[in-house]
Amino acid sequence: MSNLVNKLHGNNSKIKVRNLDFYYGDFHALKDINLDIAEKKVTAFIGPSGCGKSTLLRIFNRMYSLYPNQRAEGEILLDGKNILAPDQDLNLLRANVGMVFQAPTPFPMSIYDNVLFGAKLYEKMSRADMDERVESSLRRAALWDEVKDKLKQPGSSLSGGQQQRLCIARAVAAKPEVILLDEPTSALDPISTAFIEELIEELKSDYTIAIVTHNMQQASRCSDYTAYMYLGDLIEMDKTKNIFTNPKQKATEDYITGKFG
Amino acid sequence: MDLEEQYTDHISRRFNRDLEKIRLECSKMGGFVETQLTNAINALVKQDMELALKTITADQEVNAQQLHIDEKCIEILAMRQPTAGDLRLIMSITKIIGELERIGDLAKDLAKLAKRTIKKEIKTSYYIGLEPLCMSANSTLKSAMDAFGHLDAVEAFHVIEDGQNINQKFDAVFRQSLTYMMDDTHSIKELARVNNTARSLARIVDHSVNISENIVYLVKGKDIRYRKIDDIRVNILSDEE
Repeated sequence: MSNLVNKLHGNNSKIKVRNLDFYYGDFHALKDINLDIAEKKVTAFIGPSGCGKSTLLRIFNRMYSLYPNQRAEGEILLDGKNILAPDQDLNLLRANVGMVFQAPTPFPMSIYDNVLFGAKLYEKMSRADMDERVESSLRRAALWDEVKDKLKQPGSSLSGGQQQRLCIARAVAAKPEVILLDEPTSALDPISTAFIEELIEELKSDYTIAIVTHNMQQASRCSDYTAYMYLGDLIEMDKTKNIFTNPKQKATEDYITGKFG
Repeated sequence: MDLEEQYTDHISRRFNRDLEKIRLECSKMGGFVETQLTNAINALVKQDMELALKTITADQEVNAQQLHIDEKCIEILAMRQPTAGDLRLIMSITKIIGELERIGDLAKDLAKLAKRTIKKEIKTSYYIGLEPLCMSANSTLKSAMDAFGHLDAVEAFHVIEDGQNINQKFDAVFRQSLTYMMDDTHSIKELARVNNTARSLARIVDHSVNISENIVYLVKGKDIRYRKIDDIRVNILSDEE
């Protein structure tokens, strides 16, 4: 089932996953995954707990490389270059492929410094450049108007929804091409969630976005493509409207209609 | 807050656009069906073959619009899980376009009748008596779609009220046909067609009444089907249950 052809309906591929297997020690967590992530679209990964969706997401920026017992086999081509290759510069990769986690993670520093933290690792910037980067990133994250007069205050002084937007601003400041969102609104209230989803809709005009969510209604609201995973396999991937109106696989239908999972 | 304003306030602008688009497409389909009906009646009254043929062919567009809007409604239901006023909007639209499609079919039948009377040079004086029914069919459909465009339950109620009188108009046509039949037995076959046409026009009015009932449900959240007109008047005009 992992070899199903997934059609991008005329859109370009930003990331191509080919024959990907992943292991936590001896545990075979992802099995022969083949899929494409469309450029400047939102691709959602859904499935029950333990299906491998977060595992897959974290391979896109080689997070697993931090842990010795975890390994990936196969290829992941980002603009044609295999990011699993041993010669891949991980710092550059993680600047190009930004990540936002489930729990907002403001660093113990000012809002200003939070935004610039990642960008300053890869670029030398003048004061003027830094100010401009902070403003443009916070504007992009729809947070500038709320924090422009308190940039020196700690990131932790913000509300949960604001902190998550701060984390998005921090990811955007490093000028990525891809943004990974791992259950970005699980810890937020419904209104904050709606604002983040609206932000995702705006961001996709400039960035390729992959989002993992255990809330399939979120996938239906804010993604262009949806991939359903189960026990390490990719079961089905298609345009979101097709997945939620007429999925091809019975397993997909069973999951999205709530018959199991 | 008016229903019209509600769906402009979603945080998701794409959802706003989707709802507005589907509302406009339903209005557009209503306008197209109104034109079909007007053209069909004119083709019959003025014995215009070109108009009759054009109306018959254009029925495909009515069907295509229904399929398109239905598909969009299903997508919105699946992907947005709308609730409250948004849900009533989508459910009402799916029913309204069904009524419009049937009116479209009846308009096509009228156009086919016009084509037949022109080809066979049938005496159209028999059809003159249909004029009040034609006017009712046109006006109730227009008023129903205006009520939808304005999201106005009171306007919709007036369509339902007007529809109460349609049986009297149908009876008038039937009595006149009987008179003609008794006078000239050779005319029975054609006058039977006149009665069928009258019934079709009365059905168009019924469909417009159904559309209006859906509009009341959409705006007020009240299902007024099968209720007496006086009960509805109290509920709609006084806004009390």
